[in-house]
Amino acid sequence: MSESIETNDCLVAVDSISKSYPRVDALAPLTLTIQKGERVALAGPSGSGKTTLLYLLAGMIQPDSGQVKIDGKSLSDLKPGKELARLVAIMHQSNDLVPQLSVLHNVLAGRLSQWSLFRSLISLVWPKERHLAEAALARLGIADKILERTSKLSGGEQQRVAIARLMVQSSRVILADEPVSSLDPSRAQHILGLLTGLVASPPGSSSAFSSDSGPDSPGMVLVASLHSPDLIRKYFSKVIGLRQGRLQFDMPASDLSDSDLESLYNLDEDARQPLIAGGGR
Amino acid sequence: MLSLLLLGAIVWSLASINWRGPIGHAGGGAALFDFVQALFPPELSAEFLLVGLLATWQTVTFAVASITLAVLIGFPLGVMASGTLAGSPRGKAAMVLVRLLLASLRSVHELVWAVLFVAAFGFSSLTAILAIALPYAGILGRVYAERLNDAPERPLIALRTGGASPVGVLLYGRLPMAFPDLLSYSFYRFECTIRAAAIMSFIGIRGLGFEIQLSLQDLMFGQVWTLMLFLVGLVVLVDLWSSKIRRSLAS
Amino acid sequence: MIRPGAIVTAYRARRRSRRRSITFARASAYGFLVLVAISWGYILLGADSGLADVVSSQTWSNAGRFLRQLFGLDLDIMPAYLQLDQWAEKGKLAYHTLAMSVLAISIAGFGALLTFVPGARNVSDGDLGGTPSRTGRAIFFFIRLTFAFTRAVPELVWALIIVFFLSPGVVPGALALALHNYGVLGKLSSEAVENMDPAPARAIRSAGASDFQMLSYVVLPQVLPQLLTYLLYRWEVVIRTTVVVGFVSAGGLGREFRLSLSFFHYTELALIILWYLILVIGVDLASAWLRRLARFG
Repeated sequence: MSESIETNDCLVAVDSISKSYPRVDALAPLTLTIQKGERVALAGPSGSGKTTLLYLLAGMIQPDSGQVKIDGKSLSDLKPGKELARLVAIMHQSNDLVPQLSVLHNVLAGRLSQWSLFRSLISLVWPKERHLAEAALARLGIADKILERTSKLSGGEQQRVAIARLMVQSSRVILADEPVSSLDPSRAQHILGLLTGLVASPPGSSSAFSSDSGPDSPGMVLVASLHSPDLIRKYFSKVIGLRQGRLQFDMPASDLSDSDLESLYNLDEDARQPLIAGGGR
Repeated sequence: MLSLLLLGAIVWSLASINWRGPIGHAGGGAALFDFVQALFPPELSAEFLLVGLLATWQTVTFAVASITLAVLIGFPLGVMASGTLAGSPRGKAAMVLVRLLLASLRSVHELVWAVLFVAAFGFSSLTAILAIALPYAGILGRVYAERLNDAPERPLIALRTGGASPVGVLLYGRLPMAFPDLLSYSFYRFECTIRAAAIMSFIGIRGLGFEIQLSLQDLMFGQVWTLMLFLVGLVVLVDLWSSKIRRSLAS
Repeated sequence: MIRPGAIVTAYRARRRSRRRSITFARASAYGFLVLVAISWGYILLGADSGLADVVSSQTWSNAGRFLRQLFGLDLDIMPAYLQLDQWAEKGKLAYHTLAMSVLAISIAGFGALLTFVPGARNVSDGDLGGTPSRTGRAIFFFIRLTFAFTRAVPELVWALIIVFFLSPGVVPGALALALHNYGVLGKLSSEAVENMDPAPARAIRSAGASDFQMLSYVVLPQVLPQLLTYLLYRWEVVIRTTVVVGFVSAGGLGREFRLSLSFFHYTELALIILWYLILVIGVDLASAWLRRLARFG
């Protein structure tokens, strides 16, 4: 089966992974593929397994069964650190920056997986690869904040710093856990525009990020969890609906109707049985 | 229950003292009167103020030298004791050993170290500085370890999932987040090393304590007051400085 | 009505003060580094710096000899730490030392308990009830001055002074320890009152509580547990310092420590150090146990 789904353009292949937790956020066996260049929205009520799926894709947790392959490499074979960080980067719900560090250092922390111990130590005093951070911040429109202390920035600016860190990590797959859940509509549009822009024209195509771009552009993938149908239709190419750990739909975002989402979020008490891992319907 | 325990401890300590002997000297009361009277006014001649100023400076140099050495020893030990870099079983074992080392360093008072060091190495400035630095490294190391461990988890997880090694997480996460705390605690301990430097007079180090001892031997109580006021002024000054830095770091 | 211009001015002022505060921390850092360089220079270039001793083999052979003497390796007679009656004799001194520490911390704690409330700025300002008065302010300043003074002078110096008035023994040592720790505990507890959460105080004040009720229902319940914790922590410091104070006040282990050092009775010295360590570890454990008891009791 895994043979059949791995085509040339496939970047992420999820092969019947499952994960069980005592109460919430479990995942039934789930199979899906994501093509290069795709922007995937992950929808579903809380506890439907969105975060679990993202963590599995990030290699932060291991599935009970099945496997995740990115660019043909199984995540469970990779050691966390250098190799994994090259493939996937994840942005957490809160931005999780270090408030006492300068913006520059917080962005360059995305390079730590590629740096030696000595280099990361030296960089605290004489920042290395500063041009990477400068280019990323310029692209996000906050180049002038590069030397500010991160705690002095507004919430929106901090989120952009977190995105800049993802950019310098230059991974193939970018995951974002509820990136716009705490933002007002116009700011949410702005952030989603920036995130999806990374995939549409990956930073590798600009001169500053030449480290990873071969002759044929490698192609990237964005997976973000969010709820708004309008934003999904506007910014994403594909939408995946999860409910109680099961795949509810997997379709082009343009086909998404409001009723699809309504049925996804509909609180049907009878359907809210605890999920037993491995059990299908 | 607890208050009974405490009360019992006080009663026991009072009872275990031999109250039958004389508590005061024969001339103790008169001496106390002389001593208090000498405060009004203390010795304020320009000549003696200069002596006090020089002694203050000497005490400051010893305090500064001691705290720098203590930080230099205490910081690496504190990082090791925090266990943030200890992944392997061998690393864990090293962590336990370092914690024991820190505990033993701080279980002996600086002047006890000093007296022993003089007996072992002979008298010198470095002996006194080492005697202060060792127990303070023990205290600093423990507190550094605690503060490094108390750093908020979420930014650390973000760094880890970004592929940072334990050293990377320490340098770009724990250390910057704990830094203001580490700094203000070290500064508080600097204030303590001023007192420690002053009492190194006991092994013969010059400074405020030394001058106080000399003045006491000569029964010049007015000079004693002046020197004590110098000491108080110095401590208050450092206290003000450290609280101002603390406030500026917090903003 | 707030003019927009006023907001801008206030904002600019805040920006400015922020920039200045960063400069202060940075300037302090540079200033301290200069101080470090000068201090080390002053000490290393001064007489008796000991720099030459570090590389001299004489120093290290002396240190080795001292260690051998401490363990009594070169002696014909039995080292003191292997003699039971020596253990008992020094144990009695350890017992006195422990009593000295308990007496000291009790006096310090009792003194702090009596003075920390009027020594808090928010009490003298009337934030916690009562009317601010000139006397209240004067008392506040006097108490804070006493805290600062007693705290700044180390225990050993207090002991040097006190032995002029009191005959040697446990009491002058305990008093010296108590004086310094009174200043430490008083300052900490008064600051604890100042950092208290003001909300409960305001609530109970608006419910019409009297000053006495404020004290017993708001201030003491919040601060007394903290005072107790500080007290136990300071006890750990006090037990370490008893020996030092004993050098001059002649009570407990300190006197014997000095005597055996000057008479070269090194194995007795080793035994005294052993007892000292037993006391320190015992008090550390007891303090930790009592702090846990206080938290759950």
